[in-house]
Amino acid sequence: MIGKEILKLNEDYFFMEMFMFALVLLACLAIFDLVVGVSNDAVNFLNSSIGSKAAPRNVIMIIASLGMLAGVTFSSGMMEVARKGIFHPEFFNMPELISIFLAVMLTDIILLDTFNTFGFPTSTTVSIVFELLGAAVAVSLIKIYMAGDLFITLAKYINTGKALAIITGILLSVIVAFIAGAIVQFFARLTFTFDYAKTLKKYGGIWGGFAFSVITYFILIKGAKGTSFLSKEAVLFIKDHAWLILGGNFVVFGLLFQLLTVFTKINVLKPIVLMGTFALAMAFAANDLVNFIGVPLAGLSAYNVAELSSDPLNVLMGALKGKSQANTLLLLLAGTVMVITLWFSKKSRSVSKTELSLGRQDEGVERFGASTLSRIIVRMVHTQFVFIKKFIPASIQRGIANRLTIVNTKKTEDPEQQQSFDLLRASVNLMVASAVVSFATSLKLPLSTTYVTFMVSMGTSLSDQAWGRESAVYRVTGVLAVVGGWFVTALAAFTASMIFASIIFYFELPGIIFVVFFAAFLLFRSHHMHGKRQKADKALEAFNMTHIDDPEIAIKTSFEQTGYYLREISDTLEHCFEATFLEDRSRLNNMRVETNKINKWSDIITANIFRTLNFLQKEDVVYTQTYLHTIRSLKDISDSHRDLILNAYNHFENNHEGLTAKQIGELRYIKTCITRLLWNTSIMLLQRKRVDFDYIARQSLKLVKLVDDFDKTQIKRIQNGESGTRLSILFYGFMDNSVKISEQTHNLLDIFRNSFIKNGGHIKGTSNN
Amino acid sequence: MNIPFLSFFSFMKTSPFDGLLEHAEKVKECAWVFQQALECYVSNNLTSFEEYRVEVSKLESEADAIKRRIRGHIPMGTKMIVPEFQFFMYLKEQDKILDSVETTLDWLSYRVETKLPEEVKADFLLLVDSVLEPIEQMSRLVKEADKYFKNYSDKQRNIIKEIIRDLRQKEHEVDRVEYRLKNQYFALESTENNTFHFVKLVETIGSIADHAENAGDMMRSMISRKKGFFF
Repeated sequence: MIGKEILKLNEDYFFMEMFMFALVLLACLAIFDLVVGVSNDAVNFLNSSIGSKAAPRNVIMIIASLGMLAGVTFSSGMMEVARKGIFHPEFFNMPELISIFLAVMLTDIILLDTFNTFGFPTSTTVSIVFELLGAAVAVSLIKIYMAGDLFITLAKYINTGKALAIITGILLSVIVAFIAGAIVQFFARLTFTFDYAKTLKKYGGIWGGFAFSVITYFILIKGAKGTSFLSKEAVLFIKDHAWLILGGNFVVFGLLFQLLTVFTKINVLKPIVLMGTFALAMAFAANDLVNFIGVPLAGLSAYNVAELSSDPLNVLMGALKGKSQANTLLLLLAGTVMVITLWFSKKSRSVSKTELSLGRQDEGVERFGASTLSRIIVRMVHTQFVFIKKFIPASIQRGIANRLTIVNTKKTEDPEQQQSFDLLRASVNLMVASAVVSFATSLKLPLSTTYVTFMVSMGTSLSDQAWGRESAVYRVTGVLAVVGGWFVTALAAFTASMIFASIIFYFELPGIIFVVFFAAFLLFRSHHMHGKRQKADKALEAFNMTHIDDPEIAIKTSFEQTGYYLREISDTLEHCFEATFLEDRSRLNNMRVETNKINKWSDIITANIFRTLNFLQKEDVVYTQTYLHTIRSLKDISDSHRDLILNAYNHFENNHEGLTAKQIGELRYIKTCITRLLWNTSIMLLQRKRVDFDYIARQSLKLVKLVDDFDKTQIKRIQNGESGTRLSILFYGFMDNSVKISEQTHNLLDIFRNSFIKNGGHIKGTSNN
Repeated sequence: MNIPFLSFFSFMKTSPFDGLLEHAEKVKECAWVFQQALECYVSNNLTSFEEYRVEVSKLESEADAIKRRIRGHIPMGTKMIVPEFQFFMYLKEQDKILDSVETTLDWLSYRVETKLPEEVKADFLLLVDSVLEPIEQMSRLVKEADKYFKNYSDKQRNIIKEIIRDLRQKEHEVDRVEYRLKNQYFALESTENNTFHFVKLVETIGSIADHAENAGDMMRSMISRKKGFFF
């Protein structure tokens, strides 16, 4: 009997050691989670100030960092969501809770990192809640099954009301934020117009007072909620006297800003935007910290409770229902990790980019394509708009149109310094987001700061006509993709966490090892993928010429872009020829996908060349003709390139016969000729070196001659029955498209010579041979 | 030793083949200028010939700088997937292509006024064209090898072997054209100096393809499967 007790004690000791290891693992995961979490949420508070270039990037980052540190200090460290918000801890023992927490943390890291990789903002609150829900459901179901109970008893284990409240909160906040953003922006723009320098002198005080009072109230309500240095009475006072505080602030700040606008040259919108950034950063650190370290701390609490018990592995965790305060040192440590991540995370920039690209005022390279749903939405809204316009008197329409006329902003050569939107919109973004979050918090409604800030930002950009008919379809697709991602967050968090918890709970240590390795694998992969995406984005960004105003730079860039384009065509053609010779379907498929990129490049270059020719201000017919020729050449090159690849892909996708050795030999000559021609043209354009038109012409002629010769040999092969119909179509497809590309490349070089070199005059080392 | 699973982590390091590819592309660029120079020589456009010769010299210097950078400074994060010795031998052979290109043009410049007999012009241009093809394959060879060292797939290995076979075949074609050209020239009435100059010129051009073939052989040894303990 005593021997059995000693054995049990030893066993308990061993398991407690193992759970200690699990706690260490949870602590490490908390650091990872902080990193991925901040990368995703940074956009909430950085977007407006960075998008409007309210201050140099470093200043904005310092303000955001200070806000985060203040938020951490103000944070009460109440980690209740993880402890009892989603499930009832009194029905679980420590090992079960550790299984749940490990699954939650691993899922959270993978999920947020995946969203970061694709540059999609999502809610860390929603993800953690649904992960807790999924893992708790999994463990509860296993427990119910093992106990032989009815599955209906699951309701006993789970706090279902909270999950439903969160879903409702999300849907409501998304709609409210979008509409509020759009309406406030509309009236703000109507008052201040796009050329707000003059109107700001008149109404700057009122606007500043209004915005600042909302933002400071937001700081008070979000900060005071958990702060330790304000008494309960003080917090209650703030909540009960909201209008008094708002009114008082409005008067004080209003006067201050009016004096600033009258007596100084300070743009009052800048302090508003920077203050808003500070406020949102503070709110993020104060409230969302729990999403990253709440779970590991709950695990620590569970371990401590178990350790004090005589039966640590079986004691139920009812003690977790009580309140618990996190260690201040731990909170500061977490805050430091957050600040470091904010400064160094590349992925946070990717997330910011998505939001900025969807809300930017300018046209340019669109990140998202068009979808049927977005087309329908845009068409519907346009029809409604036209219908409503009929009922508005013409004089009012004219008045509104006059005040909402977009004034072109100053372009800078460095795209990093280019404003995505102006300071007025940035101030509306921050003010409305603060107001919506404060209002919901005062009503105790759960919502996501990410969803609110994103939707406000989209609402304001809609009002500001950033989604014109040229870009609306693409922007709506982007918004739909991001919003769709939010629902995916909940679903994926629930499912993945459920699976992970089941594996960990059922297989114990081997299960943990497997899931940790699996997570590491996915993280490495996503890191790799992010690098690739960044590279592709950079390549596309290089084609963006909207920021260039100088004709000389525009000409230089046009040359370079066309050079890169032809080089890419050459490389893909070479691969296509070789893949066809080897009947390599997977490579052909990859290239088929790549044709979209080439088409995109072609469209961008066309737009850029138009812009460049515009700079040269040639108001005659030749100018128009040149432009049309350029478009035709680029389009023909891109079409022939696509046809060539698609022909080859379809041929082998339909399992048709491969080329004969003779055909391969002949096509090799064609390949050499066309790639040589494209590469050389590309070198000439890229380096703007001495243009040897004769050399290009000779290559072109050589190609035509080769095609002529091979045409004859192919006819013989057809007559001999050596080459069937499909094979002949493929063979001729390669030859014809190569000739077309060669001809159009030659034309393009000619257009460049005639349009730019003669007019530009300044282009060095270029001769017209 | 090739450990395919470890290649999963390869993205954490830079590839030494990046520099090699840059060098190969410079070689290719240089080869085209070389072709333009010789076309000018054949058409007796000597001013342009000289301009192109200078350009080749400039490109050769640029390629040399790339070579020195690869040799002297392999970044810390570079994962050496092949022994350094083999890697540098390959680079050396790739660089010799440029040396031969430069030597050819320099040699030609000594007696550039000497007109090429009409009878050999066509084959001479054919020789230049044949030499260019293996050079153009070099950058593809490096690109495909880089891919191979990331996944060690058999399919990828076969693609490289195919390119190497192609290099050999092209070198053989160059040898045949070279032989034919020499024969043609010896059949013509010419001075000893002219004959010596032409024969050496043709041999130097031919050596360009030899270096391309040698580089291919180096690559073949780089991708060869090492016999391990179990296999």
